[in-house]
This record gives sequence, C-alpha cells and structure tokens, in this order.
Amino acid sequence: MMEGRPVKFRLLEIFAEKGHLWNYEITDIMANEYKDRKSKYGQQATNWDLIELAASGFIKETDASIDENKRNGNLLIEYGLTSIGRGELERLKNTISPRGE
Amino acid sequence: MVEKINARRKLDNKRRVLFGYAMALFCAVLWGLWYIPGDMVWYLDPFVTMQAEITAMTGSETTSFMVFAVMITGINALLIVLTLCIWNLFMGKFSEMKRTFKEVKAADKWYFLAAACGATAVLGSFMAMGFIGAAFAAVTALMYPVVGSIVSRTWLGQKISRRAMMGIIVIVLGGITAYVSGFIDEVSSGNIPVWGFIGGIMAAVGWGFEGCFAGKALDVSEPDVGLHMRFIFETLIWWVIVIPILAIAGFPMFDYLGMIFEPTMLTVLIMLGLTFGFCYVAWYKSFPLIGVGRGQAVGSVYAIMAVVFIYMFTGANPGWLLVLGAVICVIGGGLMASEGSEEISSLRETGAVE
Repeated sequence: MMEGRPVKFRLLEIFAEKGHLWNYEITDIMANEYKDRKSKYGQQATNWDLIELAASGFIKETDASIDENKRNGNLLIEYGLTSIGRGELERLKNTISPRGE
Repeated sequence: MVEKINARRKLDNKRRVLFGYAMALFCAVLWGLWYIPGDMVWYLDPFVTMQAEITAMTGSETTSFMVFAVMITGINALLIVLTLCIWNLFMGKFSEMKRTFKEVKAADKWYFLAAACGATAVLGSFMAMGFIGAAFAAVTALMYPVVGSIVSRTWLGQKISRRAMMGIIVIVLGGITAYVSGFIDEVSSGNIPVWGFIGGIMAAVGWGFEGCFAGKALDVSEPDVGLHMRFIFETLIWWVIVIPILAIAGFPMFDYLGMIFEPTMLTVLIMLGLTFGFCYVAWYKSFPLIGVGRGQAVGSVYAIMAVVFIYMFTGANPGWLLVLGAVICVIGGGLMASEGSEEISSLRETGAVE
C-alpha cells in the first residue's frame, strides 16, 4: 500500500509487515524499491530516517550487534514498531490518496 | 561483546545528539547574521521610496511600516523557497519532494500551521526591526523556547528533563536581562514604539508554536523536504492571499518589485535568503535529533550572535546589560548541552514494541 510513497510512510509499513528488522535489512529493501536509496549516500539517508523514526518513538531498538566485517566495527541495530508507530501508520493509511489500483 | 556493543551504542548516540546540538548552534550563527540584511532592507531603495509613497498616501508612518513589513516577509519567504530548491537539488531530495507533494494530505495541516506561525514570527520580527531596531528584535524573540518547550511537552508529549528545563530557564533569564536593557534605552529616549513590542511578542509566540507544528510534520517527512513544504505554504499565504489583498486595497505592492535587480539590493536580498534559508535547514535538522525544546533553546544563542554581528557591522554599542544577557544565555545553552545523551535517545513515551 505504501510502496513508492514518502520514505517514512513505507518504513513504518515494512516494520508492521515484517516485524523486527536490522538496519542493513531495511536499507537493502529500500534500495530495491526506491531509486534514490540505492547509492551509499541513499543508504545512509535511510539510516538517518530510521534514527529520526526512533527519536519520534515510532520504532524502537530491540537488539544491537557489531559488524565485524568492517574495520571500525559499525554498530548494527535491530528495530521494531512501537504502539504509537502502529497508530501513526493507521492514521497515514486513512489519509493517503488512492492510487487507482 | 555486550560491553563492546553498549560502548559503541553510547558513542553513536552521543554523536547523534552532538550533531543535533551542532545543527542548533549553526542555526544560531546564521539566524544572528540574518538580522544584518533584515535591517538593511529598510534603508535601501526602492523600498525607501515605496515606504515614502505609502506614508504620503495614508498619512501614517505606522501603516507604511506595517505594509512594508508584510512585503519584505513575503519576499523573504519566496527567497527561501528558491534557496531550498538549490539545496534539495544538490542533496538529491527531489524524488522525495515529489512523493511528499503527492501525499501532502498526510501532513498538510501541520505544514500550514507551521507556515502560518512562522509567517507571524517573521512578520513580528521585521516589525520589531523596523519600529525599534535589529538588536531589540533579536532579544525580544528570546522567549520562544519557553513557548516551544511547554507546547511540545503538553501536546507532542516530548520529554524534557530537569536539566533541560533549568537550561531553558537560564536562557530566558539571559534574554530578559538583554530585553530590559533595550527597554530602558527606548523609555529613556521618551519613545515607546508599541508596534515594535507587539512584533517582539509575535516573534516569540509564532516561533514557539512553529517548532511544535513542524515537529509534528517532521514525524512523517524528511526534514529538508518538510522545511521546503512549510516555506511553499508560507509563500502561498503571502503572495496568493495577503499581498494581493493589500494591492487591491490600493497599496503599491507590485510597483517596486521590478527595481530590486539593482546590485546592492540584490546582494542584500541574496544574503537574506541564504542566511535565513540555511538557518532553517539546520534548525529543522536539530528537531528530530534533540527535540523541539532543546533545538529551540540552543538555537536562541542567535540573539548573542545578532548583537555581536550588529556591533561588528554597524558599530552600535550593545551596552553592558545586553552583554550580560548574552553571557547568561551561553551558560544556559551549555547547561542543556551537558545533558547525558542517553536521556534523549527517544523523545517521547513510545508504548510497547510489537
């Protein structure tokens, strides 16, 4: 329903459909769906969107790990949708314009 | 391993919060700079001639000042839309912009309210600049983080710690000290420009509310894109509603626009757009990272920047009370910035994770 719509709309829907996800899984999904999220810069932008959604309280960290493949050991974070995130997604679903599908 | 993860998480969180504070400070510097071109436009042609024409037409200098304040606020909004076009193009945000435009219904109410409150604040600020002066305009708006914090706490449900609240109170005390100095100057000169004081209050209340409505819009939109939408809404308010109504009422709103392409005027207008545009980019970026209350409180260091820049560019002596107010503001900002970053990893009560 939210494919191709603003990034934060789609991110909330992905969490609602797939449950807990690691940040690299989300950046991969978004890179496949949104042309402007394919590049390294685009993937970083998705990561920022996740941080902002977490700051808004719509998603919350559920696990963390260190990426041992990277020299500096990037922090990997797993997020899950919160109840206020679910509420926001439902509100968005009621306001989006129909696509004529 | 758990310890390693916790240390790394703490570091990432700290970096994020520091970036939020850095953005709020960057906003303060540019915001302070904005008062220089904002004050200059009042004294440059063709706008001096325009004000003279309105004064001759209505017999009232106050009306002339008010109409010109509307005009320059409209130009300011339009310039920022143009600045943000370049910014978003450079940042590769046009695709997200298109998607947000299509789904504008999801947050149109918040964009509109943020634009209306921001418009009131900028108009109020220009009124304070025109009727009293730039330094005064800068300090009178200082109460806006208090409005912002109270509204974001009661309505957005954002958390504000005791230390953050103390920082806000100290910043406000600094602002009041600076305000008293401006007030004493005006009263001792036997001149009390009421519209200037009203403008200062409009700025504080307008910016306080704008931050909260913007916070709501940013929950579901990308900050740069959300900001662009907010200024497009403001531009529409001025250029589709207010300015045409004033033109129909007989004011020469469009007569002087063709004359702004003169080098000095154009430079001042470009400075106006760049300083305010990027100040807003930084301001909106800080909100999702450190919260509306903190973003606004650190951002209010702009008043000191404004006083320093005005002194540097115009040589106007700020007076010791204004300097004291500035120092108190810095202490308040430091108090807020020293807060543990863990406390602000999430800005509201989230409910259970599914």
